[in-house]
Amino acid sequence: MNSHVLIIDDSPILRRSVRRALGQAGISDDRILEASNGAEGLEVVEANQISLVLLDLNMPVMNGEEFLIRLRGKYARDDVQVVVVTTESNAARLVRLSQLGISGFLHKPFELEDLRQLAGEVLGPAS
Amino acid sequence: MLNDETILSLAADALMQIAFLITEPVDGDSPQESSHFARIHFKGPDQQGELHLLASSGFANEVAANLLAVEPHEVQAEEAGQALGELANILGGEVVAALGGVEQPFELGLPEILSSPPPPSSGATMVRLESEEGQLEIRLCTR
Repeated sequence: MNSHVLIIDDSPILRRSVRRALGQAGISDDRILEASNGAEGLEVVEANQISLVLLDLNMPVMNGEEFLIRLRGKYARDDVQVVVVTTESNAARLVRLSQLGISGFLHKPFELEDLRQLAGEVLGPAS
Repeated sequence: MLNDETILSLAADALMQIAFLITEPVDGDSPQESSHFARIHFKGPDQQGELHLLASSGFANEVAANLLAVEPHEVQAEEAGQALGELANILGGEVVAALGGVEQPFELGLPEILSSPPPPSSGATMVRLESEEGQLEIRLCTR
C-alpha cells in the first residue's frame, strides 16, 4: 500500500518530532508528508493518496477545524482518516469536531508512545 | 487566577511528557539570563491574559534536543526558539483548561517567538524552574 500519513502542524519542530515517532512505529519516511496549515494540507491531500492525517487545530492561514470541514466536503471518513492533535479541552468544541468525522483525539502534551499506538490502531497491522 | 504551585505542576508535567525533562522549582528571586522568549494570548468569557516564557539558552536547547532526539550541542538557535514556542502553545492549552475547565470556551492565540523579553505585567504570577542545563521563567498575566 502506497498511502501516506500527513502531519499538519504549524510548528516545524513538532512536525519533526512526530515524523520521528511515526518512523519508530514502522512507517517509512517516504510515506510521511507535512503541511504547516490547513490550506497547505488540502493541497497535499489533493495531490497524494493519504490514509491518515494528524491534524493540529490552532494554526495560521487555515485552522484545523476549517480544514476538516473542507476535507469532509470531498472525502469520507473511511477514505481519509483524521486524528486531531490538540491542546483544546473545551467539551463543546471537541464534540463539534467529533461530528465532523474524526478517528480520534490526541491531547497535547502527549507521549510519543501514545502517538505510535494511535497511528498503529488507525492504520492497522499492515501499516 | 492560578497559583504558583499549579503553574509549576502544569509546566513540569508538560515538560516531562513532551521532552522527558525533569525539572525542579527554583527561588523566584534568583536572577537568570534568558535568551529565548515566547508568548501566547488567551481569551475566555470572563478573563483574558498572556503567558510569557523566558528560557536560558541551555534550557531551550535541552527541550529542543529532547524533542528531536539529538544532542543539545547539535541544536540550532532557531530550533531552540521553536521548541519554546511549542512549549508556550502546550502550556497555554493547559492553563486555559485549568482556568476554564471543559465548559468555558477559551480562545488560545498562536504562540509568538520573540527576540526580546516581553514587558512584564503588573500583577503577573511568576514562577521559575530549572533542569540540568538551565532555567525557565513562566509569567502568567490575567485580567
